[in-house]
Amino acid sequence: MPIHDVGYRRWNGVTTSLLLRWLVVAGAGIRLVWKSHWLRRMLFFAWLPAAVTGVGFFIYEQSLERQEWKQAIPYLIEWYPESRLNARSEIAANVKRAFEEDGKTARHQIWSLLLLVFFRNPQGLLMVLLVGMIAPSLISLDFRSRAYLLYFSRPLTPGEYILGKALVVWTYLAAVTTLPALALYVLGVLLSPDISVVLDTWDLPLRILLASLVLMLPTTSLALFFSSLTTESRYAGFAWFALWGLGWAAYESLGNFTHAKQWSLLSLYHVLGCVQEWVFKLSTFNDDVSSAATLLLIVTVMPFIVLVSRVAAPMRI
Amino acid sequence: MIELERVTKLYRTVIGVNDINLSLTGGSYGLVGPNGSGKTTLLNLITGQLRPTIGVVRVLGYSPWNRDSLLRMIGLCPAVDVLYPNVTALEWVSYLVQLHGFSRRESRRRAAESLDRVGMSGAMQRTMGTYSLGMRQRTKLAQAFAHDPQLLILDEPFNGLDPIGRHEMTEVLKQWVQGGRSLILASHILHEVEAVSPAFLLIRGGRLLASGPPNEIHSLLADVPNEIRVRCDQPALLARQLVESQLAESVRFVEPDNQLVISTRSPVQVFEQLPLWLEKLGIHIDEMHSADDSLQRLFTSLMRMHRGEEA
Amino acid sequence: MMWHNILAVFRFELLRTLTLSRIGVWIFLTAFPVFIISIVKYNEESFESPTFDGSRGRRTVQLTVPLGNGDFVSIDGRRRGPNYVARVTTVVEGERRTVDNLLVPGDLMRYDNRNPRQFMAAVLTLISLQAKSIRERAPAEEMESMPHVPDTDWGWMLFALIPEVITLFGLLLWITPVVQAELEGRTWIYLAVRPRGRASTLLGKYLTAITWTALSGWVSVTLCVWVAQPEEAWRLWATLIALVSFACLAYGALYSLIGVFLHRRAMVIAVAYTLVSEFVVAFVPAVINQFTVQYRLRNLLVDFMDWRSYYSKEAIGVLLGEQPLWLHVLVLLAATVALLVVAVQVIQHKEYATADDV
Repeated sequence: MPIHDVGYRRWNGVTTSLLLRWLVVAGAGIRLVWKSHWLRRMLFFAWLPAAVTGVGFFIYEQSLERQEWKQAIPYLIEWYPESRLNARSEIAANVKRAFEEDGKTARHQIWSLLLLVFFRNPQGLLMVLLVGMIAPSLISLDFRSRAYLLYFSRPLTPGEYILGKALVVWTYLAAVTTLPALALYVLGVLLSPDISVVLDTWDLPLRILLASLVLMLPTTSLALFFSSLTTESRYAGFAWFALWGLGWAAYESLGNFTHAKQWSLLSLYHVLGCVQEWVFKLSTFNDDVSSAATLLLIVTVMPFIVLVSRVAAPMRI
Repeated sequence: MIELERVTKLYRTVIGVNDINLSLTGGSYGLVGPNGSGKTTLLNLITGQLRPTIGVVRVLGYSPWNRDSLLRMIGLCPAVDVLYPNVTALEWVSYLVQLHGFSRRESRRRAAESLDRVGMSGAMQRTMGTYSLGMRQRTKLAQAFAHDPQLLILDEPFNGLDPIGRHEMTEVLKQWVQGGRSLILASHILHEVEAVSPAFLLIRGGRLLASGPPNEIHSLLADVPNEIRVRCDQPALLARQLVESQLAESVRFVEPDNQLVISTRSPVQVFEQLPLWLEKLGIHIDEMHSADDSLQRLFTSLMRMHRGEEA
Repeated sequence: MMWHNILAVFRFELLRTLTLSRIGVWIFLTAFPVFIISIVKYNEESFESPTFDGSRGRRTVQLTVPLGNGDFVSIDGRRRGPNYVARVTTVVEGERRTVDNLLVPGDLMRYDNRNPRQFMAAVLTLISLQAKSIRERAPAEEMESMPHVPDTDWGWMLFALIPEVITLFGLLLWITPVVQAELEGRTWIYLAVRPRGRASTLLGKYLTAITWTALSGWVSVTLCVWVAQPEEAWRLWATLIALVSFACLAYGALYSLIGVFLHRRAMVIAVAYTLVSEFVVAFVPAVINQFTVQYRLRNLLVDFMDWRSYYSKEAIGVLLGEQPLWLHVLVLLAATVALLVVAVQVIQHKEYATADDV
């Protein structure tokens, strides 16, 4: 005769939809990360480059009205960083040529270039630091503390768990890239002499979203993959920074000495740049872009498969 | 040996310990309190890991903060689990002994000896990642006294140990105390501490509520009867039996789930008799709680006394 | 007793690095520069862009482009990375001019530039732009052999890859989480309650980190120099070994301070600091760049390899200083000691609250 007869107690109240369970994981992660003072400082400073880049929009629009501002445009165009060998000379030269032919017609290209500069230069670096701050402990800490037992003893699938964790990263990435970029676009419109600029540039917000997607998916997949490989977050953090740093070093070394474009594929930063150039319509869909896009796809899918396998593994006893 | 004068520790707005005044001579003390009561904070203040926000801590006349001479005389077994998955117990314990200034050979010898004392001689060459919780706990205990300290401070030392392990550990600690050395044993379970320490320090909410030997604590407990909660199919029948046996001070029914709350000063006898009654009367018990509630009630009573609500 | 404790920590931490995954990381970091250098070396001769006369680029080039009427431009040079350093002789309307050490961009030598007049104009422009850094020769001196121009490319590439990149990453992994690793693993308290436990943990881990990293750097330098076969290979090897050692000491001390002071976000802050300080501030042509480790290391590279005479005064003013070699060494060592002393003080006096305390 058992002393304790404690059966499963069914909840008779209202439950949330099964499809939204992963939001709970995301919400908890977002709130936990938000507590960091360093993160809040970083989010604050992430908006400053948008203000600086907004000046570029103002200068361009003013140059269409005033001749004397035209001489500043070539310097503005030179803001664009190199995403692959000689790309700077190609893209910058194309935009310069377009501006010299007809300043107004070049609006889409110049706005795209400025937005791309924003994505690539300050936000590119911020993205690496931000994800390096947030992501390494997202899954590794759950493994270390065996919190995954608490997660998966509830009606939550590994996929929902991963989606929830990914949303944590996406939220903060959006806060430093997508939202400031959209705000920058709005600022550009507001700093223009005429609201009709929207007619020329209506597609740019969509391109911003697409460029954000191109940025977020592979980076999140990789970051969570690293986090799932270890119980100590510092190794995941190291792997993350090493990926970007060593890739850049490899590209700079090999690219400078061999002048061969394929080495840009070693640097994830430059691969992202290549695809983002195409997203912003600054380059056509050529071999370089297709190679870069394929690599991004591989870098998104393969780590994700391993990630799912790692997260599901502890319950497969 | 240990003096605390008006010691308060704040973690920003969270109170760790609050206005503690304490003076301990050598001997053995049990630091008893529920989880989150400030035991670990108090121990960290004594071992010099934290500085008091207000007040003064002195160990052997000196502030323990950054005091190497004191740290040599202290052995600490913290509550946290140890996680060096690729290191053996012997390697880890001898490493920690070396940090006390012993040579490698001597450290290894001491480590092996202390691990043997805690029953880890068979497993000390395996990596700690393969250990159970109880084995890791024993290893932690071994590192606490391997360097032969004068004062041993143990924070929840019986966590993860099975009853045999607890018994063995209790014997080790008794021998330690009998050797003339000092011990502070922190736990949230009264009877664990009682077996080893002749004096108690009761802490709750960061405040030191009471201190003294077990008989004084038990006299407090004597005014606070043990409470046993039982959920069964025939509570009235069980209640009648209890009243007839005169083992219960009071019996109370709690609706709606057939719960019976028994207040008794003889819990041991109640537990002895209960199976016989259940069989004789054909009563089926679904659930039963007891034991720690009395500690809870003890603390509640002490808190009321401190607030002036009780004499 | 302090040394005894430091050695105890060193031995224990070194033992912990001997796992498959950590050895794998060591091998990866060591092999990374070797991989890069191997590819560069393999492709050194084979994929140059074609020169003006249609031949594939080589390490040396001799080229004469006639313009008619007796005018011509003659280039006799050695390749330097994507460019050429050359003795250039121009004859324009009878006026002859010969300059040494003219930096001719590789792009200018591309086959696309078919127009001789454009080519001449470009060369004359280069001469006027680089007037301060080139040496003009009198006609009588033209027959002398071209002054030796040291091959600095391999040196700079190896400097960038090994003392800068590999050393930084190795130390980032091992020394920045000096406190956070113990707090996260909940082992800090065991060390902190030992006599001089805090300081000896820091210094022992510092010793482990620089040993691990320096070993990786030294092996990498050896293999890279063997693959690259540069000029003055032994000298370059010894120079880079010394630079790796200095880099480990100085960067290790810097990261130690970050690791004890800002332990919660040590790795991110170390990365951010390195990017800003060592890759931006170090190239600012002002006094501020003298406060970076990279400035000192690149001066040591130039001085050890005796390349100083190769650079123009402008270059020396901007990227290199004029201080003596011993001063750079002294500054690096003094900075190492000072940073470690501060780090020890911080770790001794800072409260590191664990989760159990709060």
